[in-house]
Amino acid sequence: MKYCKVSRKKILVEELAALLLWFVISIFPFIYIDTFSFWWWAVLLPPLVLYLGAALFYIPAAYRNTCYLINTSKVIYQRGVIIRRQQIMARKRIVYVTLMRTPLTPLFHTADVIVRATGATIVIKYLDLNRAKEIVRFLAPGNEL
Amino acid sequence: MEYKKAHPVNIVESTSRFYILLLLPILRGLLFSGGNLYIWLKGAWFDILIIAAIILLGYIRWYFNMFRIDEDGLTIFRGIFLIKKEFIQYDRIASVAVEYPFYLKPLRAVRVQVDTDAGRKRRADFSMTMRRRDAEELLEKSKARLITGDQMTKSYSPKLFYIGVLSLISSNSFTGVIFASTLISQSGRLLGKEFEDLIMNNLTRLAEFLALGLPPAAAIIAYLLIGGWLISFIINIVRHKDFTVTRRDSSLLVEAGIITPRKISIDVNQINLVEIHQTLTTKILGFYSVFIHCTGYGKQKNTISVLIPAAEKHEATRNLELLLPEIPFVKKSIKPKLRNLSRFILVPSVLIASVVVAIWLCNRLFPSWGGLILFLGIMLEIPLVWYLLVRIFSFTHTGAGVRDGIFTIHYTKRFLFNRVSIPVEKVSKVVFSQTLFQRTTNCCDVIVYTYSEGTKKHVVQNLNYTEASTLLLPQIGEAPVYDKEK
Repeated sequence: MKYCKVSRKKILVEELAALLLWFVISIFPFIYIDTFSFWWWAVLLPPLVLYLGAALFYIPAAYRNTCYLINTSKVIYQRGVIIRRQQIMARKRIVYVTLMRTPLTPLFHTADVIVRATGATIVIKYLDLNRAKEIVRFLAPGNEL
Repeated sequence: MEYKKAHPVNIVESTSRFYILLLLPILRGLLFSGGNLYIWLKGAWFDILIIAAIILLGYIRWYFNMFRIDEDGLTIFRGIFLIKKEFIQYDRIASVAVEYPFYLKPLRAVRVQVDTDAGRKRRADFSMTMRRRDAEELLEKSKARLITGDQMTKSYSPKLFYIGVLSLISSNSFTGVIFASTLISQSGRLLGKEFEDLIMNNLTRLAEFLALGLPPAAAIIAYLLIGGWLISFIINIVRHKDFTVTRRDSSLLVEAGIITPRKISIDVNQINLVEIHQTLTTKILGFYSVFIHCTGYGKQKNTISVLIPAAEKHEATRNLELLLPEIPFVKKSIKPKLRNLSRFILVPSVLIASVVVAIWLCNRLFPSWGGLILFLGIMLEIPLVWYLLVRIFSFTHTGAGVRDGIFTIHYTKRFLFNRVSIPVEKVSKVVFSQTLFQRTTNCCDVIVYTYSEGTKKHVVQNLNYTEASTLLLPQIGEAPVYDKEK
């Protein structure tokens, strides 16, 4: 069995999102609190530490742990850093598959694939658009061997 | 075949919530007009006109609400401006529920709910108040394809004592309190504010009288909880009295209730899983309550999807083999390792210790309130100690097993011990979840998602990851295509 990785652009998108979030949070101490005072540092430092933790460790680790396997009998998707989850769905249980284009699709050329069964769903995020299209074609009900 | 209309009582049912508030002042006006119809009409003509318009709308709606019971399915035709025609094939129907409310008996009307695996989670795909003979025709036709006459009819009817045990488990104060408050507020609305106040004052006086030295506020809360629980218990007894399950070929017919009897016809092939529920008390006493999960069963207001209300182990096993031999319970082949016992008892132990520390601290800080602090602390410790006992039992209870396409899992959910048996083809997804701490001992939580209208998941905690994946992975990939004729 060989697991496939999702697109490397996942790291880029998540790093950008984390940077944006940290930037928005950090604006407030600059506006409302005296610079270099105790409270300024107290409010500014925790988000900075959290951002650095996420950017340097969590996001790369999340990318490393995210992978999927799709074969003729099952779909496996695993992800997670602190809580690692491996989701497994039998091909025969699949009811329909959705290719989800996000607002970032034109920019990064990535898309999500949503695999639905009665009572359960697997969402594989940050797939290369062409790979996502291939998966949707491959997983379409009736295609299973 | 001709379309049939719903029972005319539908006109009243669909509009009553609009005109009931207008109807009462009109009737009161009639009472005080001294029988003079002209004076009454002069004062109430506008209200009467509105009521007439509401009833007319109800009539039009009823007139365009039709159904046809065909040989292969049920056709529904509804709508005035936006006309909808729906067809439900009998072999897609998971359950048909027919309810016989006592107040509709003189009108020969019954409530019918038809449900399939598609559609909304909380609402039946088709529900209507129809004539009794139409409902019975629908029930018979939907069952016809399930009954081939190959097998003998098997029936199970529990003793009243077992219904009592089920009511004991499933009753809660909240339902009773909601029922009592609705009763009081609705009677207040119908009979006037004075009557509502009279009931409330008398109840308060009664609580003060029975306070037995307790502060009145505490006594009211205590009696409210006890009273609520008792009401809920009685409602459950009434609802499940005369409970009978009849198995005939692939059809399962559940009948229960005395004031509002109901019949539910279930397609055995559409049963997704069988569950055994036990609380710590019933586990110690050796009682088993068996439930089934099938779309539509248990969806009606205040109903539960019970198959065997309560029974001792051998009786439950025997009746389950009789009624549902397709979904047996498999013995556990994997269990949590002894080194993982701490994971079961850690949370309640920490909570118990925290409360002890909090009591000690509060006693030091507020010595004059020592008695009250000790009382509250003990009250808080009781459910925590109970939870610790549940978690200790949970360690020996948890496990999983697979045999002949049947997957059985044993787990606890809050204070409830569950055993769930699922045909492998009804498993939608399996998730192995591992926290950083669980990785150190190679254990994981197994989350099983089963075939359901919404999401139904079962979490088995702290199984060995290697054992669990070895047991489950081949089963998921090699599940046979679900065969209805099996």
